[in-house]
Amino acid sequence: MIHIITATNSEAKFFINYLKLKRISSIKEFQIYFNDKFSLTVSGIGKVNSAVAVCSTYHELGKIKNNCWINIGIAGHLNSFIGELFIINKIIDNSSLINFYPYSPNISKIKQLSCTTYEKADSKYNDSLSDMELSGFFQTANKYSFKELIHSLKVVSDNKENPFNYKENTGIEKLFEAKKNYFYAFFEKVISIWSENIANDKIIDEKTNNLLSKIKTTQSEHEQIKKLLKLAYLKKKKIETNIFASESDPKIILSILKKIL
Amino acid sequence: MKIKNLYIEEDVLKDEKAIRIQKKLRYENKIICKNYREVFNPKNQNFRIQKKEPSVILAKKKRNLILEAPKKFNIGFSENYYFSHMLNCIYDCNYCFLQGMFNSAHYVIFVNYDDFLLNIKDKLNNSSNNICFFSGYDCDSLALEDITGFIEYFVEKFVKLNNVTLEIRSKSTNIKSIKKYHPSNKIIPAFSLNPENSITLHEQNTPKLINRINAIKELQNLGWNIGIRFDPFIWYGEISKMSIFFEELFKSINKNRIHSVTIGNFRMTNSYLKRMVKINPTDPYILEKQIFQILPSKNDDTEIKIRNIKEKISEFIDDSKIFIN
Repeated sequence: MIHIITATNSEAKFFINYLKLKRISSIKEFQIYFNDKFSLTVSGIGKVNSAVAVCSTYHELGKIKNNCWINIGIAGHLNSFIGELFIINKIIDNSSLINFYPYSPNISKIKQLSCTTYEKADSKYNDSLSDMELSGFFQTANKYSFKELIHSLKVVSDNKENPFNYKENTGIEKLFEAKKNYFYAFFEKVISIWSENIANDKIIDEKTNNLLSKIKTTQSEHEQIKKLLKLAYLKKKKIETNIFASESDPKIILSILKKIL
Repeated sequence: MKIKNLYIEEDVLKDEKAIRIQKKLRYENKIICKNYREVFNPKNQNFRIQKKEPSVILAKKKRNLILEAPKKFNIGFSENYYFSHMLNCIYDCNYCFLQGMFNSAHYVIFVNYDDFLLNIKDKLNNSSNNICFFSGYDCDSLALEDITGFIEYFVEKFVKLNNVTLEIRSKSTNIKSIKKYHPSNKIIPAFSLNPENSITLHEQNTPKLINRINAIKELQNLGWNIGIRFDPFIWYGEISKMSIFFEELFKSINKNRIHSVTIGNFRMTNSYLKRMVKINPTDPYILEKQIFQILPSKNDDTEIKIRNIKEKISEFIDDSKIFIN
């Protein structure tokens, strides 16, 4: 699953419609929308909000490790034109001066740039994009997922010649819509990285957990059986899964598995 | 060489060697960092994903440039050190401890060779022993020579020093840089070898055994004494046939131009192995090794006793040249 985090409703609106997401009405703290492949959470402005939104999304949606996380939002830049889309390859936290380096997959025709996360809106503009969420998002998502599965896309909303107008946020949806094809290509790339590297393990994990749920074990027996079952699947050894239905003694199951392997 | 991103430390932006290396690389993005550790060290990176599309980090090694070699890491010298001009390797051996030791698969190239040399001289000045320095511990010494110029810099420096030996350990057949120099007893080109079926199963992207043997022969014909490294030695099949493998191998190379032979098994600390399983969840070889550690009752039949291997090798090579690592 890809979890998208945006700061505001106006940044979220395009994706809610484009991906046909439905709101989870039982969750009150944040607006969380989802379908079978994506979730989208509106975090509110600021890095603390963004961090808490990641944390809530993780816990509300099944505490699944190593899903994909993407922060998508608008950002200011010195001279890039309004509507230009960037993949972020370096995050600078302006308060702590700690830098982070997302994996930033290369997608043709999407340029890469750094983004500086500020505590307050930055009106000075420089050669790094500026936002108010990304460092908080990235640090928190990295607790739940590999760095290579965490990304950020920024669309330039303002520059030195066209400073940000807080009263006029109706155009934001159109800025995102204009980049629809690029977002699609990016999502495809992110899903392919996940499928090639993470998906198989999750399938095996599910199979082993299903079998293990049928017997009572100590923690140590659970770990040992899980590892042996996984090895059996990886080595494509035939396991009589009905032993888990007929045999409840984990010690006997362990010894059967050791014999098979 | 084509890479994903080039990361470069602020401190080496104007460094001549770093500039030369940049010119040899094709990259999509150049990203400036304060210190290579910012990119290389953070936790929860996926070594396997990075390995498919690695980046290069150009940096300066500031501390611990020369380290004492582990006690067992020995080819007959009483004092042994290792140094790494590079971290990580272009090859992809599934038994490699670097996957467990490093958080990142990116190639870090340290460009301050002069500082390494100063530290080497310092060790020599403070010792009366003949010291051996190993260069292929955290990387492959030859594989990226065309980019790093490691051999080009260090071989002629070592030849001029006294009481010193440099081991250049590699799986690469990229020997043209060594061939430029006159053979010297102070330099030991050393090649890691395994049977071809083990290479296919465990050493992705590495040269075939026959090509490594040809590289050894070529250097021996030029007068170089070569180190042969079976570390780890991975054997599938009947033990009785192991002698045939060694017989064919030692028949095809010049036994009189062998400096030393080392033998080792797969060995890994629990913490490295745990991390390797986390990032390699679908590799049965790694998972099985972990199971052997946590379930001692399940014996690892694939691990042949080192002394059996030594016995077989000593049929062809003098015992004094064989070392168990």
